[in-house]
Amino acid sequence: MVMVDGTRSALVSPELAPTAVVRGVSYAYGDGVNRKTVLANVDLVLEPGRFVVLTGHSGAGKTTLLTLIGAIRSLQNGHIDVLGIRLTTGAERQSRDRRRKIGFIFQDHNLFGAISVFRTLWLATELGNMPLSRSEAMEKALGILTRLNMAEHLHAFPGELSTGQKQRVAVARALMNDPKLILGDEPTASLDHASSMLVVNLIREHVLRNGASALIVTHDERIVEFADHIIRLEDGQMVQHK
Amino acid sequence: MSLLAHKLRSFIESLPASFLLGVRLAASDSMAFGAAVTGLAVGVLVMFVEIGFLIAILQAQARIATLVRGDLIIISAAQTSLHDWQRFDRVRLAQALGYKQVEQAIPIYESGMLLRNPPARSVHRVIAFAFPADAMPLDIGNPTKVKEALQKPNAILFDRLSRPLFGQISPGHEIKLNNQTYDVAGLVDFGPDMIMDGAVFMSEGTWLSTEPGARPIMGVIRLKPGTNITLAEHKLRALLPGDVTVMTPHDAYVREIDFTLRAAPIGFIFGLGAAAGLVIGAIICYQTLYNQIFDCAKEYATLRVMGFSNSFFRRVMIEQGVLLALASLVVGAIGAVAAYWLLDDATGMPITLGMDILFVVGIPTVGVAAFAADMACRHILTPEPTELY
Ligand SMILES: Nc1ncnc2c1ncn2[C@@H]1O[C@H](COP(=O)(O)OP(=O)(O)OP(=O)(O)O)[C@@H](O)[C@H]1O
Ligand SMILES: [Mg+2]
Repeated sequence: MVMVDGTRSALVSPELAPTAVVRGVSYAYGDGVNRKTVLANVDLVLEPGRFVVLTGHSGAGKTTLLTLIGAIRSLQNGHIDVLGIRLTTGAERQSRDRRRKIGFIFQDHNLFGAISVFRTLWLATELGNMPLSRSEAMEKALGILTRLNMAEHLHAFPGELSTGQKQRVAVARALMNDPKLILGDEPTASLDHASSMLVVNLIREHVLRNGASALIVTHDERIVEFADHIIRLEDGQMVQHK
Repeated sequence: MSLLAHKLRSFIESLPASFLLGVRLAASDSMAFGAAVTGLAVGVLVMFVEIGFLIAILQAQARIATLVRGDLIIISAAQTSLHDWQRFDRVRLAQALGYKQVEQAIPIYESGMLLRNPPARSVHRVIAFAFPADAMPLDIGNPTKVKEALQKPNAILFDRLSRPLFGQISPGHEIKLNNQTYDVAGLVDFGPDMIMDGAVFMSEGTWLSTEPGARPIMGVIRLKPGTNITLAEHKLRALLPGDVTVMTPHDAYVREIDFTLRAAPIGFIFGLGAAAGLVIGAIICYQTLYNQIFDCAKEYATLRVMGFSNSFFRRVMIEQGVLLALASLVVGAIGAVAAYWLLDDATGMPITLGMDILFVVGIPTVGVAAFAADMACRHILTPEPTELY
């Protein structure tokens, strides 16, 4: 079901199943003497409609946790359910299906210079439940880009955009398929204050409207203010603040 | 008009976002694309030259079979190639006429001779052919003109496609063949091959005047209209003694090509050359796509994280490989036209860039480019795209 209007917001209620459940997840890099435990028995529940900020000092394991939830990295211990689905280990196709349901925002925009903004966004919709026609995709892309103050760049190529503008395109791309889960790793690092606020507001609104959850790694105090929950990773353990 | 425009519009509208994505990616970096196409085109050109030259040699070797104006030919059973002429008894042609469906049985004589062209002070070996002036068993020019010219006493016709080493020879000249003087009465079109540099033609009468008991090397059979050629071939074989054999000109053509390929290692040599061109192309294609993947590693990894399937990436890469191949084929073909012109100029063996050569070169080129693209694609599909965050 593709929701483009706001009718879904009424459905967001506490009884809805959590978007993601992390139980007893431990993770270690390396082997033998080089073995280094990064996550130790982490538990985390992401409720629908919540904007959650993940903090912690550098090397605390924030990125590692995001890659595990996002099925980019295989689990070693514990389990993670996303939208009620637990992956069988080694099932490439299952993890791909999970990733398709997630909106990923990275620190870098990673846009192909040869592909226009519109085509980048349209291409993302090929991973959605229903492929969008060109005009449907155009409407959807314009809707999101307008919110990010990027509408006039619909047909631009990345080379014609500033770093901050490219990053906003990457944010728009993550939202094209109405993901139920958004995972962001320092998504506003390259943005100025005004653009950061546009991005945060858009993600918060998306989360509320779609009953989705966002888990955003950031040190940006301006973003932390808007969080429904703030979670800190310390020594591989979760510490909830707010 | 507007309906067509509308149809086109809705067709374009219906194309998915990833349609020709690989083409967009490959064409976007015009410097890299141009460099890759140039490199690949060199490989393609090598293939065009090798295969074109091989085809030219094979066709030249078998040319006489394609010029026969008749339904069947009679040759000595001992003969294995159209250059190793074995003579047979003229009586066999008379015997062939014993089959009622045979209308004409025309003898062709052949011998290597030394051609002396006094003004050019050159002496070179030439192949001399002879046939009855009015029968025209070979398609070498206008039959009426050939007949008129050959009926003059002591006349020879010189092959204007001969290699230039014979010097200028035109109608009105006198030349010597094996120390006997002949008048050049006209020019015909035949063409050299690997063994012959040139040819002359004379009438049967002129030929027999120097060698009265001459034996032909080929008999050209013309059947009465409506005769079943295969049936006639069998009848004649049964009718004639075992020292001669009967076949269609086309069979002789095929047999000659087969013989040339087996007798001389040219098929292998040119095949190896063409394969080298193909390998060059494959390596350049792989290298280009590998570099592109390397340069766009994060971009590709992002698409993988988003959930694009392996087949999506293979399609995108193969599109890029095929685009490279097609562009290089165009550039290589332009180079080949020039190379063929040079080869024709140097050897007198014309090569036309026909559909046959285009396919023989084009299909492996596209295939190998697609394969190289698929190999390069493995670098995108490494186990887990974890380097992104
Ligand atoms: N591929 C890897 N191999 C070995 N060790 C790794 C690897 N990736 C991360 N680590 C280590 O694991 C620890 C956690 O890394 P992670 O990237 O999850 O931290 P982080 O909280 O995201 O840090 P930052 O805020 O600097 O991005 C670090 O000490 C890091 O050195
Ligand atoms: Mg990190």
